[in-house]
Amino acid sequence: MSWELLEPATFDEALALLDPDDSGVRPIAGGTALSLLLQSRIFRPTRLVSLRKLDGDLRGVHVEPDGSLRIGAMTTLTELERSPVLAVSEPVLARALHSLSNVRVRNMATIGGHLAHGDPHMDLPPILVTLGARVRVRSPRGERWIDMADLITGYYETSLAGDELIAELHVPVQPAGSRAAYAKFTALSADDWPAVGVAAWLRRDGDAIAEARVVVGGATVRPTRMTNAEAALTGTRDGAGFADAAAAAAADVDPIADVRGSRSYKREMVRVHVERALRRASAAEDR
Amino acid sequence: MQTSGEFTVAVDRDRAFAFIGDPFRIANCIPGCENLRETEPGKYAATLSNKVGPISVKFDVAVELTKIEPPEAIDATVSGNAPGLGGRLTATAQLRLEALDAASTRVTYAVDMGLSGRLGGIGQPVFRAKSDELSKKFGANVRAAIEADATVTP
Repeated sequence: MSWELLEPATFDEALALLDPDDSGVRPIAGGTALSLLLQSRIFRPTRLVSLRKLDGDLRGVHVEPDGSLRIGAMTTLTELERSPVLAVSEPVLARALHSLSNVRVRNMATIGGHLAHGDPHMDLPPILVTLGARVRVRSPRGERWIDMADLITGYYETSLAGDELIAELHVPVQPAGSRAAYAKFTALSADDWPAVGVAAWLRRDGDAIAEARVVVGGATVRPTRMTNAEAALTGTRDGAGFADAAAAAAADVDPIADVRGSRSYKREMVRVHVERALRRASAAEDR
Repeated sequence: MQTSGEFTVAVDRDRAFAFIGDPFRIANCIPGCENLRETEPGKYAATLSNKVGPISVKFDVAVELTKIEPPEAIDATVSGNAPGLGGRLTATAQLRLEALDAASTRVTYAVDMGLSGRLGGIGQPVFRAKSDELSKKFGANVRAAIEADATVTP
């Protein structure tokens, strides 16, 4: 089957080349994930719309007047990893990027592609959900915002329409007293996708936890908020509810069995790493 | 890879079996199953198609009913190829019906499925995840169809 690779020069041209009625039409940014599907030939495109020529305005980490971060969709993961702004504002993201795949992938992969691919093994979506991040997406019909919590709907599936592209990621300023951490567990090589990834976010009021967010990725078909674990933490003294929260997450999680582990193994790893992520968040610096 | 499920329907076991034992009616409940036809007694052919993100697959499958024991058990084997994709699907399915009382039946089902070729490599995790989702949908479809049937023919 033949297919075409197009390289539009502007965002609007790129949007016009997408076709929501043809699942063989796909935008391609860094191509690190899609090329695996192409090589294996389980994805057979009719048209790939390369975004690499429109990186001007879509690249870079910008600090907004209120201190929030606006990150262009074509920013590579290496640029994010090395961003001095990100290291100060959201160290949890900067740290996760150091062990996200390997440097060759990070040099090519973009944040927009990382989010739009919808692969449950991506490291950043669970963290971004805990941070209350959202993406601005554009289509020929206009633009809209999607909360990170609503972006990924299933394995390789997102709430993006076939003619929508992510333009930027927005990370709001975190409230005073909040702290975040990510615990990644790889069952194969050290730079493998996570078998389990847990993002934890705590906001303290005095020595009690006023608000908690716990999101599991890697093991599940999409980043999943562990609401019972969060409830087990709220109102407890910092540290006192961690084991209960971990047990609640392990009981609630619905893991996928694959080469990285069985369902029961991943369930146990969720228990271990929810507690680990909470301890790390608790030990992180306050804002 | 294995997937299983169970559900309870508000009809007696004979009535539930009358539905489940009919390949044409049960095929309507399998997400993505189309064009079922009987090739010889107890043997059928169909297409199974599904889409996961950018990946679309279509299998041409042969289905054989290997065990039919009214009103409690049906076993089937499924095998087929995905033309152009280089993947082969083989599966065994078991359905069991248990009478809970005079007006309700518990149905349990289990499918053991194998994918080989290209689909069995990089495709394995995504199809495993998808098969769990399809399994749940199948159970919900069968239950809804049997109960809708029961309300029109009291």
